[in-house]
Amino acid sequence: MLRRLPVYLLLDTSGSMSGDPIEAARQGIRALISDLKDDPQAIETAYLSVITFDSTAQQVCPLTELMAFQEPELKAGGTTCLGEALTLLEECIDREVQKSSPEQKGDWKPLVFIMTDGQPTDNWEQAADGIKQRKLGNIIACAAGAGASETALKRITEIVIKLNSLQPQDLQAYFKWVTESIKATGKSVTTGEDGPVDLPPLPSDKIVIVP
Amino acid sequence: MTDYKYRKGSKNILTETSEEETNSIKKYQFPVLEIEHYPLSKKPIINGKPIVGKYKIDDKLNSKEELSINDGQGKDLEQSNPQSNELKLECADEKDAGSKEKEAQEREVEQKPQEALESATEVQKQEAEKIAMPKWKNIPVPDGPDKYSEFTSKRSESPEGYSLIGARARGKKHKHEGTNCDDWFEFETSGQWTVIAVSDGAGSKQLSRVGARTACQASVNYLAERLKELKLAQCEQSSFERNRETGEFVNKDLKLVQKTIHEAIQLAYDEVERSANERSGKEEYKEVLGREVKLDDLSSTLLLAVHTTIRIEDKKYSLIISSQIGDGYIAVVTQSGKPLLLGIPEGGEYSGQTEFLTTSKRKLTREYLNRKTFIHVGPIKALMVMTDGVSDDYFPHDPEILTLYSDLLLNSILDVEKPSKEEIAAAIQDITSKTLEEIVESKYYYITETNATELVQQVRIRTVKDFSNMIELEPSKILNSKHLLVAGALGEPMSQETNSEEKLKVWLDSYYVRGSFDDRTMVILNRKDVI
Repeated sequence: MLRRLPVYLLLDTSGSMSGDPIEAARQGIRALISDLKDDPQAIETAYLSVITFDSTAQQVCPLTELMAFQEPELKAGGTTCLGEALTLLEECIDREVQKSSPEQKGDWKPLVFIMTDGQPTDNWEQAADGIKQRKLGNIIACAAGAGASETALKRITEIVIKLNSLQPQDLQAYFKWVTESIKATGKSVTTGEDGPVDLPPLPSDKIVIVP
Repeated sequence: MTDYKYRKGSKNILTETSEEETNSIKKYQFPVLEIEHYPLSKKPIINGKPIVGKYKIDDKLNSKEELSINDGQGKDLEQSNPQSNELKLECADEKDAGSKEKEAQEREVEQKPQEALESATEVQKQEAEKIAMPKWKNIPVPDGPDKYSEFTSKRSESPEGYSLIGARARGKKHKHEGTNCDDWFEFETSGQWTVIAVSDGAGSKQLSRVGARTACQASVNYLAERLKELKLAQCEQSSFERNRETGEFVNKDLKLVQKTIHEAIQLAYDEVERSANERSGKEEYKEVLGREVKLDDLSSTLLLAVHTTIRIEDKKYSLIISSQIGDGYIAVVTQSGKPLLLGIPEGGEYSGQTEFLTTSKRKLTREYLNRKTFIHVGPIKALMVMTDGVSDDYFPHDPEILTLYSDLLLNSILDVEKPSKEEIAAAIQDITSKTLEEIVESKYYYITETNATELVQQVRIRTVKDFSNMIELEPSKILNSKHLLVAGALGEPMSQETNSEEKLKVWLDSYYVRGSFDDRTMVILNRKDVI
């Protein structure tokens, strides 16, 4: 009975991301997919989805298995509707992730990676509180660069990391770390036990934990 | 919605208590035993009631009370799922967790699973197939303390003359990471009894295999010794009553067996603790773990089942008593073809959590264990005890236990007396339009590879699902037809092995289910004269 590991990538595609940053994000996703495809366990169990948010939020890639995953077109421009993205995330999880029942073993708890480079521009507080309360998944939020707000992200999840800047090498390091985290979680959940998952160490010159 | 589908007519002892009482009492129910009888004629058993019975089955037992769903722990099921994982982050310098690649000893085994790309579109499927699928590595078990073999198989015969086989295979995940298999099994025959133990070591604990082996050996040795002289007296319907509150059997012999099983579990705990203590303080373990050995490091599940035959008014019935801590299945295929699960895996059949033998000694009291003892009386086709490496692939137990039994038949693993080709050809005429020749020639199996044998060899795996597609018949019709199952097994053999236990080992090593990477272990007690 296949229990999938659902992974949701929430990506800020607001105006400030245009140019190098969005290109680096695109490459980052490409590298992530390619890297995961080298891991036979990930091939069988990892399912990915990408949700972008600028002036509106969109699920540009529905939850798809690794081998069938199509890279999304990413365009930057507009504001930062984090709240709408969170609401959309909730809706996607409810719709796409299998719950356990007597007839089937459900999917593992989703892994969610949120990355934003600025302040949210919509009414995001309610959505954030809702998500945090529901404990829908394991959420890791990344505040990328100086303009990002850690406090906002702290409202969504305990686990907040900060990326130095939007330079290509920093974004690359972020996506590499995301890949390693997916692999580590994949290995850990298949042992079938309950317990904290140790995520891989962060490259401390580029990314730090926000206490 | 109930796990107790086969326990129709069980009384819910809690219906007469108040809400609060209900919530505060541990919700263990003792299904009232429903003995399955031999059909007296060719008519099938309907709803568990024989058409004509020499036993009066109390009407209340067959009432249509719906059982309330509970997971045995009063938890709201919604909350206990999905799997809860907390995340911890570490910020470290680049002293990376050293990779465990031992390239000098790597051997790559390519697997071409048929079902890996079910949901992709056709084009993508073909493309993906062209790309060399990243190979699952096969790194040998490392040298080091407590190095165990990758595979084990064993065969015996029960006192009744039933076939008794067991096998254990290291899973894909451990092969890829180059770590030991964490499963273990033991079985013995002793006097009138067959004693079986199966155990699965916790994946995250490095010495869990030691716990698994110790638990199995200690419990089986104890049970074999204690049950050797025990012969059950002639039984009657009333022999199987249990005290409603404590769950203890009223009959003195059964009470003794129940007590012995619990003592075996307690002994297993003590022995595992002793194994942990033996290893603490030793350098080689400090190196492996980076610290002293703790009891926790030997965490494993434990599934115990004992089997004998009894006579009820001159007929032979199987009697099975079991107890389990943790996940995996103790399952029975009855003679009438029903799939039964003895006991409820911890936390409900579909919870992500598991409990271990060593989780809490406090939990191993007679009081607790009495409620977690299960019994089955009735003629059987097979008793199967397995770790979750197998049971997760056959979920839910109804009807998938039947599918499992059928897969074993389709791959000619079980030692059973087969009808002649003429009889098969005649019998299948009414069920399918395909001729026996067509079935034999159809090659509906998929091909993969095993390294569980001396030389790596190609293996042909048959499944009910593929058979069903080829023969154009729903699985349910196949599961019920022994002639079809035997027919489907004809043709090219699965592998070169001829012994049942070797075949079981090969099958456990090679069958493919997407996302199934765990160690796989099974012990099967089956009648040879009844398929």
